[in-house]
Amino acid sequence: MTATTDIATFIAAKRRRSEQRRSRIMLTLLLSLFLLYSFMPLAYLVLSATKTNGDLFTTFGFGFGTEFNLWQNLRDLLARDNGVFMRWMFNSLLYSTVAGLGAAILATAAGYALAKFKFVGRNLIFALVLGAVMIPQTALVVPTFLLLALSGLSDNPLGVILPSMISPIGVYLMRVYMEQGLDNELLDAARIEGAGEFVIFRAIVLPLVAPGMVTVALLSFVGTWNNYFLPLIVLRSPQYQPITVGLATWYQLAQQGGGGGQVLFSIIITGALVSIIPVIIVFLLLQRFWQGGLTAGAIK
Amino acid sequence: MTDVAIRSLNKTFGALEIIPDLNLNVPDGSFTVLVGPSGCGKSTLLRMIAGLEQPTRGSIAIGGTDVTYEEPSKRGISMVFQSYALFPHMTVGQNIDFGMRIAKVPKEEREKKVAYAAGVLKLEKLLDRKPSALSGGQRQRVAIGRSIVRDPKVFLFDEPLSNLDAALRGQMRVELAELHQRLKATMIYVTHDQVEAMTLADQIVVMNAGRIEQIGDPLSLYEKPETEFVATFIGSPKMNLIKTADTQAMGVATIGIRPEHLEVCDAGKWSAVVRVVEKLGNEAIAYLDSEVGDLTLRLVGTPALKPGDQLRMSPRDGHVHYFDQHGRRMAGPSS
Repeated sequence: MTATTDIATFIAAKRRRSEQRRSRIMLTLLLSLFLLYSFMPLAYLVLSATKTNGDLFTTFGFGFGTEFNLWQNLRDLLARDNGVFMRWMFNSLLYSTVAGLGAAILATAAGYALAKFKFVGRNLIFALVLGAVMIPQTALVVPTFLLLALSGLSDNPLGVILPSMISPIGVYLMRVYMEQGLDNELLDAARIEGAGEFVIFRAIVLPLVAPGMVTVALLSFVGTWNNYFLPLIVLRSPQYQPITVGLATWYQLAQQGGGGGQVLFSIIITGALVSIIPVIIVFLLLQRFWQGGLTAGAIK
Repeated sequence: MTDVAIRSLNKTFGALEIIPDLNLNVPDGSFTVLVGPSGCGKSTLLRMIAGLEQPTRGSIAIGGTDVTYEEPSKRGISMVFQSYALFPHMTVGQNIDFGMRIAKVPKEEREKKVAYAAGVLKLEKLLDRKPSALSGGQRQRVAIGRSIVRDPKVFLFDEPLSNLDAALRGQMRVELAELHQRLKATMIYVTHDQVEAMTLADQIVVMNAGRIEQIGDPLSLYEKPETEFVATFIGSPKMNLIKTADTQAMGVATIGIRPEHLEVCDAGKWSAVVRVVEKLGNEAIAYLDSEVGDLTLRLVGTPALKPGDQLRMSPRDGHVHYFDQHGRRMAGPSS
């Protein structure tokens, strides 16, 4: 009797192990497919950036060309139009950094007020913020342009930076983050110790919500870095253009066959590759905070 | 002279009246404990004394000065919170001298005060640690240290021991009592734990639904509870309340008998069956099904009682409490 039970238990355990292995393999396969799918555009970009313009159109997209032309492409990229590419990079970096920092500070202040202070209209304001999250930024570009034009900020870097500092999703994230992660008793303790509201915000709140702030800063940095439509509408002068608009201008030129024509394609591809490097660096540097910011509220 | 005088205090949240109309005197140098069940308004009252909540009506005076609408930091109070409320990104030393840094107290004086508080609370070796590296008891001591360096006229404690385990709670109770003896400051302490109230207080204020049920020293509350609520709230296990036709015939709605004031004897008035026995070593608590309802009996030592045993018992002479139909204390039966 005991032997029969032991064998049945052994077979059941073996079957369970086999099922677990099978589901692990399926999951790994699924994730690998997803990884492959996500990496394909990046791989295409990297491989294409190593090709000559001729190879770009005559060789397999996911293979190397007949010669390794990355360094020449980079030289051409940096020399093109008197090195305007670096100007675009600088503009993008400036707009994204200022917008990221500004959005983090504004979203933190707004989120703090909405989470920790009771005032008339608080829920209405938060409902408006939530509503704003649903509106695609592109839909706001024309009214934003009209507003900027009235304020004399069209064709001015501030015309891109100021609207990019407004982040409804950031306000929402910071409100939820503070509501769940910032103990009211800490603020009360600081008040009893004699700290004013500004000191409490600077000395207590900001250090404690830094992970959330970094999350918002990163979201805004990437959003501004990738923004094409707003700078296209707002900025006319070439010296203010960010990388997205600059590369698109070259692309139009290449399609029309003017200004060097087809040769431009390999330079544009290389430019696109270079343009994602700062975003990757920022992500890697701030990854620690980014992950903390995303999970801290959930754990609590 | 740092007494606290509360007059006609009212606190209403929307349509909900938390504290209807409260008057209280906290004598200078006393250890006053506000005790009551959750939601009775004791923490709200403490927060109003601290200035963290505004009263709807009424006034609060500390040391003779009206502070009803004064900023918390200007009331001469300090407060220790249930969650300790230590700033997690600061070291113990920085936590303790936070208020002094805000007030721009010279560094030398700050260091002297931090050293004094650390000495009193045995925190000298922990000054460079972050709160996350401290035990619950150590965190609570840091919170108290932060209070001490403010030289407050009144110390406020909001359930400061409820996050600690039983052993540490006992130890911290002793430390708080010693601190009060050493500083001789006025202390107001909120708790829902009547053991803490009984062991720490000079004066206990029992609250229920925003009202004060009774004020007095621990023994008088235990021996002469003014209401049924106080009778059952103070004392563990709680007082037995008995309502029978006999008591009502005497003109009494309820009689109360403490578990240690029931005497087991063959000629006892009531019969009962033992349901459960808790043997604690020095004493035993027996829970009984009796002809007058559930009763609790406290016996010295380790009596040979077991579930199912039948016994008879009577109240000891002079230890019966009488309450009228409103739950208020009566001198004795009217007939």
